[in-house]
Amino acid sequence: MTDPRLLDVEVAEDRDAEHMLINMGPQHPSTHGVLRLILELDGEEIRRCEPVIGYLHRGKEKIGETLSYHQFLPYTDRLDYLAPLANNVAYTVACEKLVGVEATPRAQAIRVICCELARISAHLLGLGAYAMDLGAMTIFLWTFREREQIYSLIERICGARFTTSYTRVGGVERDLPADFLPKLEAFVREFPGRVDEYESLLTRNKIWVRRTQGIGVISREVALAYGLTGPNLRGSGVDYDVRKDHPYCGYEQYEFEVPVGSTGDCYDRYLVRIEEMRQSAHILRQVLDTLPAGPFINRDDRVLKSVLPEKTKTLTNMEALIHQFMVATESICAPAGEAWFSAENPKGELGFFLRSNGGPSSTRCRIRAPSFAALQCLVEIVPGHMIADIMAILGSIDFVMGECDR
Amino acid sequence: MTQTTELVVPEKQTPTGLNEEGGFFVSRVDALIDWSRKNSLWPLPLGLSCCAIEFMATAASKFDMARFGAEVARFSPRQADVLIVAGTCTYKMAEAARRVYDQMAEPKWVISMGACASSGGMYRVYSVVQGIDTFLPVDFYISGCPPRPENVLNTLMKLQEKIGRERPITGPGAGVGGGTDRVDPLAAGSPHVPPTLVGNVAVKPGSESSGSSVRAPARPSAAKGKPERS
Amino acid sequence: MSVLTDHGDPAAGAALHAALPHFTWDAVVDRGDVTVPVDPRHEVEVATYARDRLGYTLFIDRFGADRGEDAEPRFDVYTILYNLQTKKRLHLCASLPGLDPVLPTLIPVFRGANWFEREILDMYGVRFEGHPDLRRILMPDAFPDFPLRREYPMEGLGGWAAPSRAIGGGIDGHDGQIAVNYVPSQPKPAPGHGGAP
Repeated sequence: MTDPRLLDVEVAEDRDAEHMLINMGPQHPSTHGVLRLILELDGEEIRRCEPVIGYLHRGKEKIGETLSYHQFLPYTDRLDYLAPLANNVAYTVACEKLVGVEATPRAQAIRVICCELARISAHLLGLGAYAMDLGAMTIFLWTFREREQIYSLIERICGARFTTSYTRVGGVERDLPADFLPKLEAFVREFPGRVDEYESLLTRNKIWVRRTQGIGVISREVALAYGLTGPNLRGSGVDYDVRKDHPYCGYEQYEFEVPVGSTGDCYDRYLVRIEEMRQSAHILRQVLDTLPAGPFINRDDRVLKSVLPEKTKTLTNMEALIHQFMVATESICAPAGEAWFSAENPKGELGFFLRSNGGPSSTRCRIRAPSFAALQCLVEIVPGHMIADIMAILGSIDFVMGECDR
Repeated sequence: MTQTTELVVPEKQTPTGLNEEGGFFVSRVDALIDWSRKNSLWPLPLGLSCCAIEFMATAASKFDMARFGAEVARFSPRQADVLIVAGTCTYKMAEAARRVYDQMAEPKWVISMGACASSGGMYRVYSVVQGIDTFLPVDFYISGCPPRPENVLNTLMKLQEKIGRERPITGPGAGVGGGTDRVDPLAAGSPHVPPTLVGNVAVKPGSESSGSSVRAPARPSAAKGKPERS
Repeated sequence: MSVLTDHGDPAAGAALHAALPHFTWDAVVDRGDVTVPVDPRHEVEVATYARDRLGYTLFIDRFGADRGEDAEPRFDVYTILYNLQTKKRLHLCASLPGLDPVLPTLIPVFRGANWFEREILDMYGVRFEGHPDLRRILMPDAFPDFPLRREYPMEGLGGWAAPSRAIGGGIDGHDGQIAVNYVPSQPKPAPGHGGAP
């Protein structure tokens, strides 16, 4: 499909002209990680685009089959490394589905806080890098200002800025610290104003609009065939959000809207992400108002053998000590069978398929990465655009190679 | 009674060439070159995975690498001074990383950021290079997964100190360029022996055989499970 | 609180089996997820029926699984589909023997199966008939093994030219893998055509 902007120019059809093969990446500032694009160019217009991936394949699925369920948790941080907490939650809920444990209400609310903070953080970086690629460096520095605030919040929760490994089967690793909620409340109060700042620079910016509107159109049919999910799918007009359709961690209690685009171009996806950030702040506000009290991890008698006992009890109680030893060394053992769970991650639907044969680790740990599907559709949507449009398309697809290559 | 100290006037020496030890002006030029190099390091962030995000955070406003003159991140190897390998290097990527290093002009330095770049990190798997020092000469290793931005800045400062001692004109590596005490593991006749690959895991010569220490505990009574198909 | 065990639609699984009884077996429901075992040779027909008649239009995933060297059938290829109207998920599972596992490609039904099938080849060695571009995707082309097979050790076996040996240093001293098996498009596509296969 020829770019309409090129139709004005009279070009002699030269049937003998060869196309130029250009290699973009794997080391390139705008490929957002180690992605390689082989581009076949006819002048400035792209005739064929082939993404080459695998430069960050770290064998996570193999590791998942070798290590125990909790030992694998740090590896999930590094899947979509812009939103580690969301990956933790998705994996842990999948384990809970396999093991047959439910997290406590307080743990579920804490997980919602984690997921929404992760969503805001990932969208901020996606937006910052996207704008920087198109020349708007200011947005990058502004979004990193907010991200540093989120990092401070996450550090208060679990001790690490990112790569958190915070959730456990049955709940979370530790309770929220006492001073966390006021800090979160201060952040949530200010955040919508910040989003307004970003919008004031971009949304009606003539350059931004011209570079993103009408570019990289993903039709509904293409999106469904390639398995796009998340903001990429919603930008194309499909109203599918796992938080609404298959609520997990208590999402059904919170009121929020799901932004859906209409044309499926880069501009629509940008608007969807901006609005999602606002909605995430709205959800955080509701969680703050309704955070239940109670235990942060499920230590019900029925599930005790799957969960680490309280540390203080292990120092005084023999059964608790034995439980601690068994769970830590032999790991939790899930009943035989299979379970699939997918969560609404910032990049799309992150799915985990776990198959167990009763042992301490899964025998198949499949990670369904939304970025893998999203990158594949580049083959269809990039041809016909010009080289400069690739940056707009890549930024709007907002993929992460850590997740794509696993 | 006042003590008079004899004023010893050193012999006047004319600097005759680079091989000589001395010369006040040459050593000043040396120091000037070192000072200008270390305070305007242009990094090439080879952002492979998660460490790249922390590198971006180091370059952003809160930690601000610009204070050290290193904010100009040049993604073209021809324009960069220091290659910061941030993230996990796979075998597929190693080749591209080496190519990028080869294209950089002297003087150049290499920082290995994070556990994955330094040693393979938590990924003792078939596809990950267990340390970029198997094919790149590394000046500094930053530990951490990912290293905190303060750690990155600390390493940058250490690199600046190291550059400050280099003395490209009168020093031992005169005429060679930067990074004189580094040994390129792929250079012919290099005394550095690249670790042999046992499986795809590098075993440093002289160390014990590699055994995986990261394994799920095996249940002694676990039967080899064949899930039933109903 | 949220329910994790109502993601599948057993009625749809039963309807699929009833409509194509010679290509499928009875649907299995495990923890709420509905898996329909499928005859590998007829997976395309089953998937087409699920997409067009049962409304499972969103292609979610396609992956392989290995039951172990001693199991027969050894490999499973799962396809995960989603119905946007009923908001239910469906799993199709095709089981393959350990020796020379082959399956027809699902690309005619869902274009997105392309890379997923390449990954299954890369990791398990399962071939897909009719796939236009079947080659490795995550590992380098020269890699000789199928890493996700259960007998393959996590650390790898070596035995292939890892770049630290292949690279001779210097740009022109390479004999490592630079170019993928890329075939430039032969005839120049007519204007108006996207260029995709």
